[in-house]
Formats: sequence, structure tokens, C-alpha cells
Amino acid sequence: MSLLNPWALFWILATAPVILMYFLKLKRKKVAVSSTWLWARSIQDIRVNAPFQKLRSSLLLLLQILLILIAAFAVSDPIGRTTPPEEKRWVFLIDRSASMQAKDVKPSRLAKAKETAKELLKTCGPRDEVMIVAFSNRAQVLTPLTADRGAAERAIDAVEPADTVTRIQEAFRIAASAVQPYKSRTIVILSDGRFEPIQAGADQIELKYVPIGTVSKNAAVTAIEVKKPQKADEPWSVFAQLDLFSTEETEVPVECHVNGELKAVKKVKMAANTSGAVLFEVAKPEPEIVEVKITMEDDLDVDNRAWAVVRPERPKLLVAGPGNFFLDKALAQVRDMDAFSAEDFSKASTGDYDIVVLNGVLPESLPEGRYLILGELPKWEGIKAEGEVVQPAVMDWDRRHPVARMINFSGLYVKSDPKVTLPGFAAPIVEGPDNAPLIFSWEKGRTRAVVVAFKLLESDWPLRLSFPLFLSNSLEWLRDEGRAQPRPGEALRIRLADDETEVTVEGPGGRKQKLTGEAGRDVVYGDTDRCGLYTVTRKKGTQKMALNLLDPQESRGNVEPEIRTVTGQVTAASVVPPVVRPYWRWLALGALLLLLVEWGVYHRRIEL
Amino acid sequence: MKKSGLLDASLIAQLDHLELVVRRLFAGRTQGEKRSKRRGTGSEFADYREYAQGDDLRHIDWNVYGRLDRLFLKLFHVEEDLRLSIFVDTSLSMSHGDPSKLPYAKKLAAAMAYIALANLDRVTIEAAGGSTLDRLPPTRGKAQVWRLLEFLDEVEAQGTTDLHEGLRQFSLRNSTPGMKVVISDFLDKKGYQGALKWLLKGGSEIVLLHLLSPQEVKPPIVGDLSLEDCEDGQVTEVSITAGLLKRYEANLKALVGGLREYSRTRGLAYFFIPTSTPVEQVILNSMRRTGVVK
Repeated sequence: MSLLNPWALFWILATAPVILMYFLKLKRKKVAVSSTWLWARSIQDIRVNAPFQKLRSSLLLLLQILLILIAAFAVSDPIGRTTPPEEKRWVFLIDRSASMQAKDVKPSRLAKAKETAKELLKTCGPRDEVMIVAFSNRAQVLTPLTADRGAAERAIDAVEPADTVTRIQEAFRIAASAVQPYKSRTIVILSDGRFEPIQAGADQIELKYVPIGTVSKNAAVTAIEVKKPQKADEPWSVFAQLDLFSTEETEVPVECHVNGELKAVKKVKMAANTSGAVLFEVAKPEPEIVEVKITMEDDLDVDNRAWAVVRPERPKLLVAGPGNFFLDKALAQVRDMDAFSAEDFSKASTGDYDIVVLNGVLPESLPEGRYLILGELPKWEGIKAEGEVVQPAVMDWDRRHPVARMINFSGLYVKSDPKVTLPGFAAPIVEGPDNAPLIFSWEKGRTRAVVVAFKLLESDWPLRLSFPLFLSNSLEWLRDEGRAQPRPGEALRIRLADDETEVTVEGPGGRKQKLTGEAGRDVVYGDTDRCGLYTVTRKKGTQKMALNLLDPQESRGNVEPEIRTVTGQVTAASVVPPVVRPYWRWLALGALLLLLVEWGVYHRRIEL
Repeated sequence: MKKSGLLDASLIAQLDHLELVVRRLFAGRTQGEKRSKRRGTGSEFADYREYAQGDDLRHIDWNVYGRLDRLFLKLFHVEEDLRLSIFVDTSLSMSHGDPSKLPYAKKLAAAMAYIALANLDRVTIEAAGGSTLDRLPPTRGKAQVWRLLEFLDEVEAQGTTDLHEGLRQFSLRNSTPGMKVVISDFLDKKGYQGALKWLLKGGSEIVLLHLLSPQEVKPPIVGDLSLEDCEDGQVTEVSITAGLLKRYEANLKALVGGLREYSRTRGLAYFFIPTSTPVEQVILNSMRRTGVVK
């Protein structure tokens, strides 16, 4: 045990005046009685019968001294500790991801984690330094290493939930580098353990895992898709995948809202720990915003709703470069797209189109977007060409790539092909000899591109059946939202139109933020911790974006009993370290009780 | 008659009908109204005895002689006076309380003395407090009531209680058997047993009247006090607690109970009288019920 404020023990000196007053003795009132004989005998009786008779006469004094001692001790703020005090560095990693909003522990896992962190804080030595890092899909340093407990507590209080997936690595790296110079350090992870294995460094940092939560019962929407009907008079289909994380069979009620109106309610009977699908058919109105909502009471609310925004307009396709009969014919077959052509690419504004087909033209650089590049080689981002391969034979192609689906490339005649070396992020689709790709694709950020490295008109490909199929597959893949769909916690990149310099983004909580930037460039909106609909107000109307959790890992209810590092090291759940509470509350309580006893004793003497 | 507060007319009227009762027979000195041990010329037949020479012929029962042809003498109880000795404790402690014990004691003494005087009994009163002694010499006859009241009026509280010495002197001076009444608060630091032993010697009928003020029965005092004994000035510092008060009451009970038990085993009549009880009630109810007066 140690005292946080040992100087307060000087209050013990306050006993001196009390004792002095007792020495001075109270002036007794003189009362004449007929005889003191019976009184003297009574006093004698009490003295003989009572234990601690000497103490009894000054019981009040003793109580008062005890009261002062306890109060002084309480003010000196004693705390208990099981380990000898030594200066330590602590980093508390507090998980604030979506799963921490589960209410299997009251009021929520996050609140419990914060509470536990505060309790742990109290066990730290007075000279220990503490760092608070919250993490969701990214890390957030709330306070650097500090010995200021108030600052640490405020930092813990400042942790707010986020509807995101859990990525601990960044937070761990920050924590590890912060405590690296010190000898005695501990990283305490307060989480439900639903994250990737930690890449712990070589240096042995003590790792403590404090699991928060128990087992929760949870139903979640883990996928949502809205499909346009083939024919105009058929209904739209809304498909949602549901996951039930519960040990008992449950009937999950699901609602489908279209454009803010409740359209259908279904009850899905689901066995324990299974996935299921629910299909809604929506005839009218034509959906713009679809929301699927589980109306059951469960432990995690954030995954009960998912939104889908139906793109109202057809994708716009821009074909840049000189006209090409085969290409034009093939593109004419592509449905659901509005094709535009521009002879001079530099005059076209690529930002207004969803897909740009670059036929034999190539600008200096490309903004983020979707591109089909034909007959040219973009020589940036590490794509290099050294020499040419004459009449390369098709050696192999990636049959699993969506672009190469159902296509046979064998026997393709190409006059010549540049010998291309691809950077890591690009993937070859069709390979010639020496692994030189004839066709390749890459995906980076919001950019997707398919590149045909050889010149179309110097090959027999346009005459082959595989060419229109390839175009169709490519355009399908390029227009696919796929991984480009932003997730909560990720920054939203908004491309400003060529004539606008600002947009306003309104989050689900109604918080508006004005973003300004250069026309034609991206602006970044980062306040995306919450699931829901984000409205971008632009010069030309508004645009909605749906951010959904859709992550079974977050929705899964149970808490991991241990955490792993990539090297296979396992850290079992630590019991919350023996939080030896500060004693002053108990002492104060004791002092209060003592005061009551003193009051009682005093009144027993005064009243009959 | 000099005006005295001790006896009022209504009390006197009630006392007139009473007489003192003694369970034993005593030899008196002069003729009175109490049956005596002595046989003689009373009006109540007592026994027969064979004639002896020199007996008064007037007492021979001639009817018996006629029947038995022997001379028998008829014996009668002599009716003589009763000697009532009253000891009033006048130590300073008796002046305490509300109502005060001493005036009450005087009133009781006056009432008992009046009953005796009214029945031609002989009364003597001793008021002893500390070393002083006031004594009313043996008095007889209703006419002496005024003297008695005057004597009692003048009695004042003084000195410390010394029952032992007081009662020794009292019993030596009043060795004539009769009724002996002791009026005291019995708050003697030396105890009462040694003192009462003196009373037992003469074979008299003994009545103990134990007076205590209501303030002594239930002390209305609280807090940290310094109690001063009014007799010897001894100071006792007490912190009055419920426990102490309980102890005090227990001790008082022990005193009263001890006196009562002492009296019962030795044939003494004992009355515990808080001074809040009216004197009339003590005499007309308590004493009558226990047969001290009738």
C-alpha cells in the first residue's frame, strides 16, 4: 500500500487540540443532591462490571481521535498495490469498432471497456506514464504518454464508437513505437478480440488482453443488392443476406423500405448460427434508396440496417480516339450504357463519364477512374516496356479473371507486342512468351483499368468472337462497383465536376460539412465513422452514398478468449489485474459510521 | 391552638377514628385503652387462678365456688397506655426534594402522634440530625397536641445522617416497650442494618417509614455533572448516561428491597413512601391495610 498524498497525514496533528480540550476538561455543572451515596455506588457498579472501564470514561475522546486518524488517512489517499511500484509505460488500446457497441454487457462493451480502462488506470503507479489509443479500422491517439491521470481519463472519456471493422495493426504499431525506448512497458488491449493477428515486433513488449463482453445474440444484414428487372414491367428485386449469431433458432423479422416507405415485412426463420437470404420484390416506385432493416431486439444495433443506393442514371461511356469500325460495332451491342465519343480526348472532361475507352490515345496522366486502354501502354506507375516481341503466341490466360470469363484466346494473331514488365499491383490477363502480358488489368484505389497492349488493327482479334465478349466483360467489370464501394471509416473521395469547387456532405447524424477543392479534382470526406446514408449536395443535384457495415466478423457475437500474433504467439485473456481500489472511500465511509456511533454515544449520555 | 400546617381539620377528623394497633401486649405505665400484659382490674376477662392468701376477695368468682367448692379468682386484662416513640431523621438530606421530605416526615409524625394522643397513649418524639437532638418528652392526652405540633414546627434539618448513633441513643432512651416509629430516608453511607439492630432489642413493635422524594426515585438530571452531597459536601463527578441511571435505579431498588426484606424477616412494619403520596393516603390506606392502625 502506498499513499498518494502522504503530506495529508499532518492532519493527524488535529488530534492535539482535541486531546488538549479533554485535558482542560469540561466544566461540570454543580448539582446538589440529598446523598451521593447511591450515585457513588452506581458508578462503582458500572466500573466494576464494564470491560475497558478506563476507556469508557473517555470513549468520546477515543472516538474523536479515531475519527481524525481515519479522516487524515483517507485524505492521504492510500492505494493498494500488489506489485512493487516501478515506473512503467502503459498503452491502452481501446477497441471502438462496430462490435464494441454490443450490449451483452451493460451498457455496452465500449462503455465497459472505458470503465475497465479507468479502473486499470488507478492501478498504475503515480509516476507511470499512460497513453490512450482508440482503434477501429484506423488508430486514433487520444493522448501521448503522460503521467497526468486527468488527461488520461478525459482521453478515455473521449473514445466514441465507430461503425467500422476492426484493424488493430496500425494502433499496435503506434503503441509499440511509443513505448519502444522504455524498459518496462505494457500494451493493454481492451477489446472483444475480433481482429487480425497482430504483427508484433521482435522486442518483447508485455501484451495484456482484457476481453470485454460475453456472448451476444445478434442478427445482422451482411449483404444487400438491388437488381434491376430485365423487363420494364417486372418488379425490382432486393436481395439481403442475413446472419444469425445465436445459439437458438430465431425468427428474424425483416423490413424493406423503398425511398423511405415501408414496402414489405418478412419473417425469416433461422437456425442457430446460420446465414439466410431474404428476397423482396418491389414493383413501384422505382427504387432509389432501399433499406433493409431487422426489427428484432438484439445486442448489436448497428448491423441491423443496410442501405443500397440505386444509381438512377445509366453509366456514361466515353470513347476517345479515332473511330474504329469494329470497336464501334462491338460497343453498340453493350446494353444499359450511353456511349459518347470524342475524337480529341484532351477536350473531353473524363470526370463526367463512368468509363472511358481510350483507343490509341493516351494523356500524360489519368485521373482516378475506369479505363479501357486499347493499343497504348500507360508508362507510369511502374509499367515498363523494353523492346517488342514479334508475333507473340498466347501462352496462357487467367481464366478466373472476370474479363477473361468464357473467352478462348488461343490462336490469336498479333503482329507485335511490347515487352511489358508489370508492377506488383497489375495482373496479367493474357500472357505471351516470357511472361510478357498481351492484356493486363490493374486496380488501385478507385481506379480500374484494362489494357490491351498491342494495336487492335494489327491483329486478327477484332474479327474473332472473343473480341465483343472481351469488350462486354471488360465494361461489366469496369462499371462494377465491387470493392470500390466505400466502407464506414474509410475516407470518401468525391470528384468535383469541372465547373464546381465545393460540395456539401451530410452524414447520417445530420452533420454537414462543406468541402472545397480544385475543379475536376477529388476532395476527401473523412467523417465516415457511422453507417448510413451520406448525401453529397453538388451543383447539379444531390448524390447519395450508402455506407454499410456488412461484416460478419463484426456481427459475430462471441468474444475471443485469446489473441494471436502472426508469429503464433498467443496471449490469453488476462484477468483484469487485481484492481486494488483506492481505500479512501472506505475510510471515509468508516469515518462517517464512526461519526454516527459518536453521535449515538453522545446522545445516549444526554438523553434518558 | 396555635395554627400549624402539619394537621388540618379534615385530617384530624379522620385520625380521630383511628387507633394504633400492636400485635403484642405490652405493660404500660398508666391506665389507658390498650390491653396490657398485666392482669388486674380491667373490664375484659382474661383467666382464672386459684385463690391465694392475700388476694382481693372482690375478685373471687363466687359462682364457681358454689359449684366446685373451691375458691377461684377471676383475672382481668388491665387496660393500659401504649408508649409511642417516634424518631424523625432531620439530617440535611431530609430537606431535599419536592415535596421536601422533612415537612412530610413532620406531618407523618404529627398524624401518628395525634392518633396516639387521641387514644390516651403516651407519645415521645425525637428529632435527630447529626449531633443535635430535639426531644419531645413523653406526653399524654389529647390536650398535648398543640405542644406536639409546636415541637415539630420548630424542628429543622441539620447535620449529617448517622442513623447508627441516632437510633442507639433513641432505643436506650426509650427502652420501654411499645411502638417505635422511625421516619428517615435511610440514605446513610454506613448502611441501615447496624442501626436497626438497636431497635430490635426492646421487643417493641417497630414501624419504619422510608421517605424518598420523587427526584430521588427518578433523578431528572442529565449530562456531565458534579454532584454535591448536601450533608458532607462530598463531590461525585458523573456523566449521566442511560446505563448509569439504570444502575442508580437498581441500587435504589436494592436499598428499598433490602429494607423490606430485613423488616419482613424480623417482624418490622416497613413502608416505602415517595413524598409525592399524600399523607392521608399513607395513614388511611397503607397503614390501615397492614394493620398498623385501625
